[in-house]
Amino acid sequence: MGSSPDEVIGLFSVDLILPAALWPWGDSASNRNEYQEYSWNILGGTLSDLDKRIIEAFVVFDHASSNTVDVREVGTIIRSLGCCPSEAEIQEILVAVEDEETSGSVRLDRFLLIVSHIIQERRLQPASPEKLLKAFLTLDRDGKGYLTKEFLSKIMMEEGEPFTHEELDEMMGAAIDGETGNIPYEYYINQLMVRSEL
Amino acid sequence: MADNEKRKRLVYRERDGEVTVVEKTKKSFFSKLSPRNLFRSCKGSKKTEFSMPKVERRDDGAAAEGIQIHASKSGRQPGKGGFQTRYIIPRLPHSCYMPCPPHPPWLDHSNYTWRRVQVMKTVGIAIRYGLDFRGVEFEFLQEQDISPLHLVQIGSGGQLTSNKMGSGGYSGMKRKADNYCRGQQYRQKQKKLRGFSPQMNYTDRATAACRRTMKAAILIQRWYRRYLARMEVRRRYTWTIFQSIEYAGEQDQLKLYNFFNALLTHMPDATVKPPGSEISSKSSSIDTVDQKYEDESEDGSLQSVDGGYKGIHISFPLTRDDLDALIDTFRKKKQQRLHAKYVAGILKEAALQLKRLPNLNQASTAISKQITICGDLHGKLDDLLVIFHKNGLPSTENPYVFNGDFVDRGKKGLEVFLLLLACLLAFPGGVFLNRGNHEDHIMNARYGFIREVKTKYKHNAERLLRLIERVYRWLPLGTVVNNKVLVVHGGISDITDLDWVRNLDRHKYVSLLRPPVTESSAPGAELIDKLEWKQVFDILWSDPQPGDGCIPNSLRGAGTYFGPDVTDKFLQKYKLLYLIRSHECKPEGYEITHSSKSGVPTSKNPEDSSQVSVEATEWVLLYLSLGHDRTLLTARLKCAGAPSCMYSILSSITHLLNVSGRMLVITIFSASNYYEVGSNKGAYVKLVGPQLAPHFVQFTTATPRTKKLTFRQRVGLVESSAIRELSGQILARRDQLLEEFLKYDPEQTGMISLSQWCTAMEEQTRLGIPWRMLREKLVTLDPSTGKVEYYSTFQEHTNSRRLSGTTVVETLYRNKSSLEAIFRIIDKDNSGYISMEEFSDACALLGEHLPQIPPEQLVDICRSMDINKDGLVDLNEFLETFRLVDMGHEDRPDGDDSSPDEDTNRLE
Repeated sequence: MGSSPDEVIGLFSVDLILPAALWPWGDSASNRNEYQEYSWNILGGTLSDLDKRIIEAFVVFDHASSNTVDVREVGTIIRSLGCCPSEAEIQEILVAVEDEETSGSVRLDRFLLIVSHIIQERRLQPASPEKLLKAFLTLDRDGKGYLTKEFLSKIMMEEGEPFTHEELDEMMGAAIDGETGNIPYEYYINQLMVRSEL
Repeated sequence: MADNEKRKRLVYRERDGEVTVVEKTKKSFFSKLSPRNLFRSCKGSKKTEFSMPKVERRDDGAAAEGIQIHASKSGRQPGKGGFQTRYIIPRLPHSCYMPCPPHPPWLDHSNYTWRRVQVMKTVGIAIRYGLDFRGVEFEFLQEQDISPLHLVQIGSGGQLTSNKMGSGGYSGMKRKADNYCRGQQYRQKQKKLRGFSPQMNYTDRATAACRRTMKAAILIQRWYRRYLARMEVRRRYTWTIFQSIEYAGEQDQLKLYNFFNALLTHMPDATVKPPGSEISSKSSSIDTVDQKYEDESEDGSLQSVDGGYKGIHISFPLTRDDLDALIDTFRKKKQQRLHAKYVAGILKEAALQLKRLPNLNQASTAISKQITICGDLHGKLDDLLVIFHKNGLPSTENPYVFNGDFVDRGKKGLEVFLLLLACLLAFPGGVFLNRGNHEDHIMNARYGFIREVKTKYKHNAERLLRLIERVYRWLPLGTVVNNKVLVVHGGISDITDLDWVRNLDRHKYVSLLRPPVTESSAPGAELIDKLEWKQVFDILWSDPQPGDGCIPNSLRGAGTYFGPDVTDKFLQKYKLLYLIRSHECKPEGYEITHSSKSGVPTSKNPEDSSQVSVEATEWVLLYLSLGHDRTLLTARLKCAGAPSCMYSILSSITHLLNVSGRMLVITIFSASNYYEVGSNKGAYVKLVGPQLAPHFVQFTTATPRTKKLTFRQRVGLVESSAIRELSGQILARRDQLLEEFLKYDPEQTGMISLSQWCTAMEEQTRLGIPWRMLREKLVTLDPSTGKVEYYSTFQEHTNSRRLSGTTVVETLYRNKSSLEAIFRIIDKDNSGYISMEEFSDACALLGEHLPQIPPEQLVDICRSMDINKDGLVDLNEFLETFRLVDMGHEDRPDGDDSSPDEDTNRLE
């Protein structure tokens, strides 16, 4: 791979989460009111289109209409907004957004604040498609132009942030070329490509 | 257990080989699990020595077992332990090397620590990500990978496979590890155990290659997960669309019925016989049906079984052979219809059988040791057959509870219903049937069962429907298994009183959509009646909600939402383990709610608390917050050779769980592909053993079409069907929507902004759907400005149906089902015709409450409805009249229906 590895994955940097100093509310209870006011301004005041999009994505997963979602859904929401975080990055975001009183859930106001910040700063943006292609080329050591099912499964299950069996099955179901049984990755990339909406 | 206020946040902190516990208040324990958070907490926290999990040093240099997490079960001597302990994490192998965040101060920067962070992160991620840890085994290659925190995390769901839990105590381990880290010895050990160790040798070329592969893999995985997430969102909103439309329909039906209710309740009994006063009129009419049935051979209205009939013959009492024959008949593609006489026979026998049962079935697993519970079937015979195929036919050894909603919506409601009743007759002790909200002729009128019966048995439909109605009325309202588990269709509410339910007269509730009209005019009597009705109504219609309390269900328009606190109180009051209900379609076929996942247990007994250590409390909270199956967990901990610390607190955990962990509601739904092919799985639940531990079995009735589909195609398929449904809804509100759009577009440019469009759509439809996401599916956007060309909202349909004119289409969409339902309600005897008498009843009713229209005029209208002048109004005539009326009153807000012939034909 030509570029430095870190560039490919995106550096795991401290500022992935807002440094506490930047948070409109502090950690302490005294800042709580300030925060509430802030969030009230955001929710009650004018919402940007981005905010609305985030809210809408959030609401899809807010089954109880209580303005909260389960922490487990957060990754899906952020990804559905076009971001491309790793599991580890999701984890970091979670730490920042999770509701402290009722652990296991995330409140809309807080989520909105942090996620819109992340998106505006264009963090977690997907690497370019070329990089993705490069990644496949790295795996395709012999330059055959395709990967075998076994090899890709092995890599996906054992390397990086491994897939679950369900994820793997879904991926293989869509990626494998019915005739050859292999994965012609240049075609497959097109499927993963989504028009950027940000 | 310490009260909530007292609950301290503990942070394990390591310095100079000693673990201290940093205590911080006001933060949830759960958020502690991340190293990042630890970092933050440590910085600003007040440090106190904490008594419980402290590690002391002994004189001999080995760590004491002050913290019992490290106590060895296998008797391994402190200090002598090699690093042989293995915990396995197959799903999350430790090759999961992510670039590491800055180390928290409590970890040093040695390699071993670095790796430890990885493991910990991995586990943390997995937990947060909701990976199911049950049955997952962990493998930590080195003992030093384990810290108290890990144990907490792993113990919370994973299985500890080793009984050689670290022996040296925490500090001892660390010291050892440090020594190892310094020397080559450590490295070799690592290699032997692992094969490779990428982060150790950056210079090593092979390792570098590994690293590259790994990074490539991560990149691909990231992209793929994003792709998957987008599919998931599509799947979810599709779900929302279906559900909103479904519930909106139910709401309509109720409003309609309420309208009639209002009429009926205000009507003096003496003048007109109300169509809805079931108590008196209906039961008497049913008695007459019985009469007819008895001497049916003479009047010949149910054709006797003659030579023309090629189907199967069954005899009563039903036997297993009859049942097999029935299943065979129903299963065939080109089924030979069961003779009406046999249908009536089954219904009648079943009614007699059901009549003997109490309001709440008492099921016992004393003989069978297990019991199967199925949720809504909704006329999906295939699903029922799949269940029988997978799980065996019902019998005394293999009992079943069918939890209501057997009919409607699906094509084979009658078959499902008959088969279940036949099972009941053949194996009285093996089948328990509960009444559902669709076991109600008013619901059937709208959702298709009445139509189904009428198509299948043209000549005898009326009689069969009477019999079916009678069976409905005798269906028990719920089932109690071993006095421990309550199975009801909808749920409970804060007023549900099982003793009351046990003693009321279920037979009088012909339809639950309205409180019964009492003959006595005493206000007190009516009140009791209403309350009693509410008991039954809530059982059949309620849904659980995550928030506390009870609120009316505005989405369905009927029933109640009940919160975890209601469940908790209820279960405690009746000493039940949990509640199983159906009534809601779930993507996975089942769902567990109120499993105290929603938070800290609410009902803790302070006396018990005092005896439980803070540490145990934390553990319990963790278990609870993860929502794990407790019996399973207990068993796991026991057999897994868990550190003795776990044992020592196990009893307290169990105790606490007994007090607080019983809040549990299971939703089970057995109709797969309910909304559309691929939309949801079906499931049934088996309660096994004396503890009645629930085991879920999912299934999908495979049609050749769905087998080959990938996730993406499946989502696409379901989505397009949802969009179609939605388009129907949109079209029905065309005028209002257009008006709304024009408000935003005074200059008539044809364009409004996206958010205006979204607001307008939501304003008019109130479906609560993510319009913004759906914009591409529903409207055309101007590519340059991004504005919405709002006329395109109605495009698809105006193209295809322009000929028939928009109002016709629109009103057809809007009123078809309502009008049909009105028709069915007026048609008291379900004959398919409205007799003059029936109609004048209805007219008289209307006349009472619409004083501006003189009664005579109404009667005239009735006469004019009878287009072919045969003295009866059929559905076609009914709809046609409304069309004529509608043409005369274009501006009437309620439109009423209008339909060219092809449309009315379709309805019949």
